Amino acid sequence: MIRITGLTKTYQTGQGTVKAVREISLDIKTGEFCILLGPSGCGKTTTLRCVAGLERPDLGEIVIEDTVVNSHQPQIYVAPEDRGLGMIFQSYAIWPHLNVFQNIALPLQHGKRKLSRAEVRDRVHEALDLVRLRGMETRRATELSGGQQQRVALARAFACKPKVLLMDEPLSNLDAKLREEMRFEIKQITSGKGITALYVTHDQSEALVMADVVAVMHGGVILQRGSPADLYRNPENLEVAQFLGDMNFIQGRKVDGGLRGPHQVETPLGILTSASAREVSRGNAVVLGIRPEDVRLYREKPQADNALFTSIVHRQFLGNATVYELECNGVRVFARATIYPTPVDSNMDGIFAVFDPSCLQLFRSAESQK
Amino acid sequence: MKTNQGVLEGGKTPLLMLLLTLALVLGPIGTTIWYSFRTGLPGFPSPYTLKNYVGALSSPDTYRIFLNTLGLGVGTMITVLCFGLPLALLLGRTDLPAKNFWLTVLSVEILIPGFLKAFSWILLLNPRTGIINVAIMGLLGLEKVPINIYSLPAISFIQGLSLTPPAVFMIVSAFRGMDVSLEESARVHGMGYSTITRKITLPLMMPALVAALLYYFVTAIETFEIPAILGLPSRIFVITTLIYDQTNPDAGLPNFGKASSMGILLTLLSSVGLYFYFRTLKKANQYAVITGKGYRRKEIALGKWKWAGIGFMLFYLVPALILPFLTLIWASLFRYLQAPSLKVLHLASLDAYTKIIDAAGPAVLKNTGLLMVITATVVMTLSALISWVVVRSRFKWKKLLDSAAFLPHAVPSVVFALALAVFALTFRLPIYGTIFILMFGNAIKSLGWGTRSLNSTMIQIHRDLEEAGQVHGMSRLQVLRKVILPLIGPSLLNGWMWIALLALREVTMALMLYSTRNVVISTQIWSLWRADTAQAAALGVVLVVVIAIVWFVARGILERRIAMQS
Repeated sequence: MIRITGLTKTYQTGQGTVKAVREISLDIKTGEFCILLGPSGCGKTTTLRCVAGLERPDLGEIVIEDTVVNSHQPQIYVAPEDRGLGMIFQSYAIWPHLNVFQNIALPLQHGKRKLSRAEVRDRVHEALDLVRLRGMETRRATELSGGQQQRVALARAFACKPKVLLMDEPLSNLDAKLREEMRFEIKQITSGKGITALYVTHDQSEALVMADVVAVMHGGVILQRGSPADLYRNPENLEVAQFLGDMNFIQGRKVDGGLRGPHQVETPLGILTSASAREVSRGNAVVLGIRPEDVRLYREKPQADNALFTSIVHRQFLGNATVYELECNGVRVFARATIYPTPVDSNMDGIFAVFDPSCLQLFRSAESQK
Repeated sequence: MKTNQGVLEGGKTPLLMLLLTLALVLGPIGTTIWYSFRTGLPGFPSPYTLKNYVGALSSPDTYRIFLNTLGLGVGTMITVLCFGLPLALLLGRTDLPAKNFWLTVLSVEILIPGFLKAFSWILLLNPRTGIINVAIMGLLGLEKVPINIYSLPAISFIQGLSLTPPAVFMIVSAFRGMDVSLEESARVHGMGYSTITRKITLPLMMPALVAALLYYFVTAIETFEIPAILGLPSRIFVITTLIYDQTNPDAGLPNFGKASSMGILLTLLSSVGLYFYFRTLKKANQYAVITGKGYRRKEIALGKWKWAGIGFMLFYLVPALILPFLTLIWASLFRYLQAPSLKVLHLASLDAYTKIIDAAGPAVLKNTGLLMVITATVVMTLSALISWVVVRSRFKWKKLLDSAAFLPHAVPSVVFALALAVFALTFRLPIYGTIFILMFGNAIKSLGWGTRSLNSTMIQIHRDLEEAGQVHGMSRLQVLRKVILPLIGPSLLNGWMWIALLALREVTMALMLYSTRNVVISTQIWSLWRADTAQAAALGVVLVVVIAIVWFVARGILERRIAMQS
């Protein structure tokens, strides 16, 4: 279990004060796999390092497994080595002067844990079994491939039997195929052992695949927190929508409809209806959003709301789907069609597109948010 | 609950270190500046005056000495260029055979004291009995000596020879830092070898080369031993030897005020040189790239030209190393110097070697040992602490700390020794005239080298390696013992060895701060030279052999350990 309350961290740099993290709060239940997702510089790594104790926050409280490890009032700070954690670094941090066995054993022999020789051996072997590196004990760390080093780092963390595992972009240095394998493996081992995991990444597909809970960070704050499906289907604001998956955006102004929808929005494509439940009063500038896979395509004009005739500007065949770039009144929209047979023939240059009101998201536009 | 405030954020330890470094560095230098406005002996009251500067700047002697100094700098630079550039090209860009051997020989040569080479050259080329001079005169039937060793061109040439090896290392590392793809792309786009060399390689190399030359220009005007040995007999002064002459006059009282003002002027002169050096270096670094590991630069195949390459190596090594060393051995065998021939071999004896312990004297050996061990230990400890703060911490003034540690490197040895003497005399410090003032001087002078070499080691050790230990339950002390020390250990030892050997060969400060109580091997050879050439030569030969053996063995062991880790 990790509970972060009101965490704030500022840095002094040559250019002045940087507010890396601003009063964020986050609850992670025991056994939950939580991913902090955001672009670089959003404060996700700083948050993780505060939990590890490698940074001291200016304000806020951090609780790990019922122990307060950081607090401002009263002053509490527990050193990293006393927090009982496991951690995987982006660089793997494999000690180059030691072999595989020694890399895993060192914290067990010389850390707070101080196990007996036999216990150390058992733990190391168990951890190596877990990451399928048994038999590599005497290999020098520097002789290993990136993927193997990654597994050693994983084994080192698991050998410490931590309640909480921290991971800082652990897969970003691996090639694509290995990355997908390791995603699966890390998730499987942590959930199998009931470990609470806090994982930092800027890779949205990692977040969608691995996380129980995703917290999207931007500019030092958490914009939205929820299950991957929840975040994907119902992003709360433009930044989250832009960061997770692809989405078409259409600028407009609400001209009619109830406060909580359905909303009538005037756009260059005409009046469109959105069934979004977000509260927006009439006259406000808004942005409509629809994911490419939610755009339905028809040969004949369908009996539906938000149906438009569009011209096909470009098509991109992806194998399992086709992406069309459509144009109507100067607005370009992408549609992703996976249905077979596709309703579009290769010689067609126009088609009807339908933005189903239930799929048409509505956001307050950047100006009206202020 | 314990806190680690002060470890990353700053706190007391880095601040104390900054103050200590500043005091060690600025104390002596500041006192010298202050003293350059006074006359009389340090520690006694005297009025403030501009006399020293006015006297210096209004005397025609001063300008002649400045011209000599500049001439020495330029002459040395040209010699370094003529030998250093081809050597660097051979060792850095071609498949010359036994490259590692040549590089090790050059690194040993850096450690061989310049004063020994100068002594050998006197034996070879002095006007009356110089072995080569006599031989040429006999061969060509000349009346006059063909080559005068006691002249500015000769001093520049010999100084240039002995500064060539460090310059080669500097230029070779610049070659290695160059992005190989810059040349490869030129080849792919259809340019030939010679065009690439003219249009790409040389222009890219130019800033690094100019930087190296500027650096050795500054080094040349700052050195003392070769101009002292070869210049003083015919009263050719440069600034460094003038400072020595003022503080250790043959007759009369030392003039510390005048010496200080000359020291300040020399420091200003070399600061101008260093300013341009750093400016050029900045440009050179813009061209350098950090390449990924596991790449090998393509070497130019020498083919049948490889004999020409080896020939050039010897063309340099014979006058720079082999001939002086053989001369030293030859001189050590004869009570009175003989021209080399088989006929005189029956006069040869090993007397000088059997008496060597007596000649050196137990006090001198003890002083030398203490100087090496304590200097190296102090420098590496301080450097490790300073580098750690500079590379790892978020200490606010870490840049200042880094510069403070480097500053003494920019002050000429002669001036720094003068500064220490004035400082100790002014404040009546009991270290004056003892071995401790030599340790002090050597340690502060080497701090710049120590911190620079450890900075680059520390940067390579990713912060994650420490943090991984901490997060998994190891305390800071355990991380230091089990992770950091094993990783920087080889570099620490390597640096320790290098500084100990540099202290062994150091003679400038040892002479400037000389007293009967702090004689070390280098000053002992210096004073033996006039009295008993054979004995001095024998001591010199032993010194060179010891340096070479220690360095070869140490390199062998350390290189294997470093190789294991990377």
